[in-house]
Amino acid sequence: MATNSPSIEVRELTKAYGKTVAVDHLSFDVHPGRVTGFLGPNGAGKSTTLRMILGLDNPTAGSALVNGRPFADHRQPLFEVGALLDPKAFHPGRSAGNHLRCLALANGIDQRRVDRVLDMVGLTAVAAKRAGGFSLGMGQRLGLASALLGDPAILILDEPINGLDPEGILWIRTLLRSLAAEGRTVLVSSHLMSEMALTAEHLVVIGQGRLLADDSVEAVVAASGHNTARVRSPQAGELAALLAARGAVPTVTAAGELIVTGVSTDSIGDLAAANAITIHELSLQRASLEDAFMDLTHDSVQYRTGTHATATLESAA
Amino acid sequence: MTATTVSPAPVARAALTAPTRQPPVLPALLRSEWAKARSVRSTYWSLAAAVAVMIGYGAINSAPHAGAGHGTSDPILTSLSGVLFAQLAIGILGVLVITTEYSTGMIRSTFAAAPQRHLVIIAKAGVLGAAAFAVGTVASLIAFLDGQAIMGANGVSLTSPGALRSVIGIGLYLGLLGVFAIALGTIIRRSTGAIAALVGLILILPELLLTLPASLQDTIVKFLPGNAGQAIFTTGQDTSTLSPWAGLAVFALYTAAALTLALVLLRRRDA
Repeated sequence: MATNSPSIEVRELTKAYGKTVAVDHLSFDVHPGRVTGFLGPNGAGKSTTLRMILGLDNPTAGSALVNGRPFADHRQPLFEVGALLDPKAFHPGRSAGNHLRCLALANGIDQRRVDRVLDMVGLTAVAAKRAGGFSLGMGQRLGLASALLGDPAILILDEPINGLDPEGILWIRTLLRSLAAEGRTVLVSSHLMSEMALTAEHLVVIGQGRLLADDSVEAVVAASGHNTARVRSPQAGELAALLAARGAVPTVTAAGELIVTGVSTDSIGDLAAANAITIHELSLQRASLEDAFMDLTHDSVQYRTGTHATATLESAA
Repeated sequence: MTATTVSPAPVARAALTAPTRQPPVLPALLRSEWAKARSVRSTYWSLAAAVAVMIGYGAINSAPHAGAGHGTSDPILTSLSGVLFAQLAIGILGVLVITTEYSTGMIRSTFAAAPQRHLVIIAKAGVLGAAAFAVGTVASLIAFLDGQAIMGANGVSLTSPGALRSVIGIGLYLGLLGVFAIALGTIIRRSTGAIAALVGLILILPELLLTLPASLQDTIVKFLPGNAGQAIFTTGQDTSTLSPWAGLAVFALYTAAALTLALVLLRRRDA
């Protein structure tokens, strides 16, 4: 199998509910061997997109292929695609073990595999308990167990860290990275940029159903307009004038200090050298991932709060 | 809960290459639905309730007809009268088999494992239909034998005209009703709505139509789904009921129509 060919292909995928367009001509590929973060604010259309990929929702237009075929054409899909869409997608009166056994039977999966995945997600001790009594985190683990049942090469997980405790988050992060390292395709949705920064290598960012970015985590951050340079120079005023003449946006913050946007640190250094300006400090102020995310999705947030909450959660860059 | 150190198995060869073996889907889904039915308590409770009312209500109705001079004109139906309540238990079970999957979100797990949605419903219908037929037939046989024994000399034997047909007919009727209820649950998707529709169609509508003039009743009421199906265990024909097998055939047509509508909607709608 050529590891470079995409295992999930989304083409012009569109979902409209009446006049509301939840997913709008969305196209992207997901490749094996890495964790792809599917990122967007609440209501961006992430879950709808994943449901369409899995053939659960019918697209209004466009298509989604999994291993080159529509999901509905797969006869034993659990061997190829494992999905976690909803942490409570089980009958509350059925035990965790029986839930997995029922799903395994539907695809002719060996029943010993049920015990194996229960062990993998740490639910062996509660396998005989009614799943209705599970916490959200245990529900997520059961959902993950069902996704892993067929030992699939593709995993599609919708907000898998919701409801997990810090230990669980660390566990799932390690699990997803190791699954990707084995050559699997891992597509994980989240509305938390900081979490994706620690888990994903590639990002597909959407807002209001449209594609905003499809690039590596580094590139998404680098492309953010928040990238700024800090310059300290005894000739700050002179440098500011030169930079402004070149279309950059310098701001004098303190005596001898400039914050410059719109130009690379290399250009600033070259410009200073060419004009014999002494530089005491020249540093790139990396945008945090949350900044990059806010920047990308600023115009496409569906449920905006009245006062703009600048929640810089943690600089994960 | 402690985090488990995980070292997943290497990607299975089967997962990385295009699957070559493609066993038929329906047998696997039948096994899966059978396991689902056996792993929730509501199945046992509903079937136990159906058996209990079938036998218990038949015995209660048979008791007054023991002894000389107390005989009934229809000893067969008297012993089988519990079917009026047994059908509720089977019908509600059939509805819940599919509506609880929608209400819990299980349906998405089910369809993510089996994108051939119509086969999932057909497997559910097959499992419940067979279970309801088997349990219904055994329960009605016990209710018949028990009821006739209670009525003693006023009772009849299984070889008397219509007796065996009625006993097996109840199994057939309950089996079809289970399928009909699954179709109704698939169409409506909500437990309360689907149960209300079922009870309305089978129990309430026939009563409401009793207010119609007698001539209309004869032409309409006997063609209602429940009334038509119940003809299979009705002895003593008159113009108000269809003949037993014609009635069952009409009910089978209703069931087929409901199932067809359910499968069409299932394909069109989002899960």
